[in-house]
Amino acid sequence: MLYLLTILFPVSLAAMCYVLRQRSALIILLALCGLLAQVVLVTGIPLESPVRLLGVTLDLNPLTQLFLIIFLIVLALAFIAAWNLPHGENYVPVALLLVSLVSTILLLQDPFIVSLLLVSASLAAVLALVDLPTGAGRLLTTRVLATALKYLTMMILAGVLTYLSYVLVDVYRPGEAPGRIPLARFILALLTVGFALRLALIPFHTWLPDMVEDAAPLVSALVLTVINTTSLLVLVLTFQRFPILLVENETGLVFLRIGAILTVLFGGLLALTQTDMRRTLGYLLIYGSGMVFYGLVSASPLGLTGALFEALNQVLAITLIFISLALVERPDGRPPLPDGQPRRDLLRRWPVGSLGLIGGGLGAAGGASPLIGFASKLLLYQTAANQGWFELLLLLLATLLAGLGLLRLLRDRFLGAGEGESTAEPLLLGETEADRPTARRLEQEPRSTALVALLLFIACLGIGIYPQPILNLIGEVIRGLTFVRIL
Amino acid sequence: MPQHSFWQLTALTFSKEYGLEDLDEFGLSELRRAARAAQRQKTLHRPLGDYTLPFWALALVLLVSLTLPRIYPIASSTLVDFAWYWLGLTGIFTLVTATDMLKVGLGLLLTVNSMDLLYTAVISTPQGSGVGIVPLGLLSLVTILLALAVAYLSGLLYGRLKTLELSALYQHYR
Repeated sequence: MLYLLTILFPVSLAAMCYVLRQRSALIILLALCGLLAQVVLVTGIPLESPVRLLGVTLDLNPLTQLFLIIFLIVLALAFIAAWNLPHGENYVPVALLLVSLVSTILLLQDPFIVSLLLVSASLAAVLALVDLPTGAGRLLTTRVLATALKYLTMMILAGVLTYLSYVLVDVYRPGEAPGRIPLARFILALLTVGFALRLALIPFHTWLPDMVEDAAPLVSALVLTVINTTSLLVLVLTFQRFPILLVENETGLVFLRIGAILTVLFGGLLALTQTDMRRTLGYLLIYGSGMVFYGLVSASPLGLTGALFEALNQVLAITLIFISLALVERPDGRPPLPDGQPRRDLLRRWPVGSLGLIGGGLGAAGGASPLIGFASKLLLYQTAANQGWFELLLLLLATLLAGLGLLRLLRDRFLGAGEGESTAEPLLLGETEADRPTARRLEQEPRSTALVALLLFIACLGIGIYPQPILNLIGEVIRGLTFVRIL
Repeated sequence: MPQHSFWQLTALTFSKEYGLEDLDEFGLSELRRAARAAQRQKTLHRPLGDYTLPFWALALVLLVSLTLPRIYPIASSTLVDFAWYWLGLTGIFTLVTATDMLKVGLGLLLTVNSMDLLYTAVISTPQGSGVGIVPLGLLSLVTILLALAVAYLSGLLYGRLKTLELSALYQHYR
């Protein structure tokens, strides 16, 4: 019963919110209450006691429970932030629908059904991408449409490749017909490309910078935290269910590690070469995906612990980054600069938003101590060191490039001198205070959204300083994974 | 002519979706400009050369679909292998050579359906785990959702640029 409620409750709530979608404040309140109830439901499900329903097995393990709860918390924070930020009228219903889909994906044990649900989740996200706020007096930009089409195409192709691999896994029997590519290798190749498309690994990454650049920040956060992290968990569960794919492909794993290293290197390099703030962030996120993937394909307990912890850190850091991005991009009452030049005084103008963006960026990309991402990156470096000094060197170089990209962004957009600030001038002869033009009042950061950004920043700091409880939990789960023990 | 009528129908539907009464002067003038540009585009003559690439792509797909079942058989019969390879490859080539949004959708639907065919053919064999009601239902649901998503995006594109051509989408990429 609890399983069914966990799946169906968010769907019914999403339907209700869709009907009431024009009353933004009301549906945010409803959705917050719903997410709270969902947390209670998820914590109430007994762990590792599988049940059968319509021929499929449903089960919840500590790892999936942890991620589900984190998803629900960050979504609740995103909803609170959305109170004062522009968002599409379907944002809340789509987010609730995704909660249901992600809960089902993490509860299910059948990889084929899971891959279909991942495709459905991506299709739902397309609706959020092309959304406009209620009563918006403007048209959807063609860039957003092009981004949505690109995302849709990439995700369907990823879905098709993963379908195909799971169908082949179903009929796979060891002992191959001679003279053709071994099926296990073919399946691993299909899975790799499928998940590389989903996780935006280079060279399958093009949708991610476009999405970060063109979509609403809250929608990008939704896709990158909820859908992408779930995809990563699905990949881990796939390896757990079919360890033979890794056992028979040790050379393949080396190639996957090389692919991951290329992703972090190029992600960092491309982040350094961007001039646009959003695109820089997009490439920093690609660098982050590469780091997670590196840990995963190292197929060692240390690497996997680092990968999962890094993925969890990124959920929090990405949410912080995008909420802060939405804050610093708010119009503040000043006229735009000539030739569309960007403002360079974001830190002075939006202190909380800037702090969140820089903190989240430093944690997610730089792994700067004591922020979130430091402990997980240390584990990943240790994994690379175990593979050889050359791999460690490459990872460190990539981190340096990503860090430089972030510092460049900081210099170009955040640390500039204040613009348009009036300085107190002495009164001229015959002039009185009443003759002076009224001082312009610039918009302040909305309190609730700033508070959310601050809370997330504190959480990032807290996990960075004291990561042990989460690390212990992840370590315990990983000790139970068969494929890590076999390799 | 039917395609023209379809466009008109889509435009009618999605002009409502945009809520023209909510648009400001700039939005309305942009729509008028797009309609004029689309009108000009419709009068352009499409040369025979535009069909060369799709034709040779189709010939290549046929060749590959006939060869692959022999080189890399997956299903129990060559005929089934040919059917899903043919559908999948046609889908991919439609996607690659597509010039408008509906053709992109068509390519994606063909590719998804090739997987549907393979799943049904392979899983129901004695070596397979057997066809389940949930995966079959979900496969159909994904197909319907995909068709709806493509139709929605096409409608939005038409509502915005008064054309379904992808070249117009990237021409106005700003």
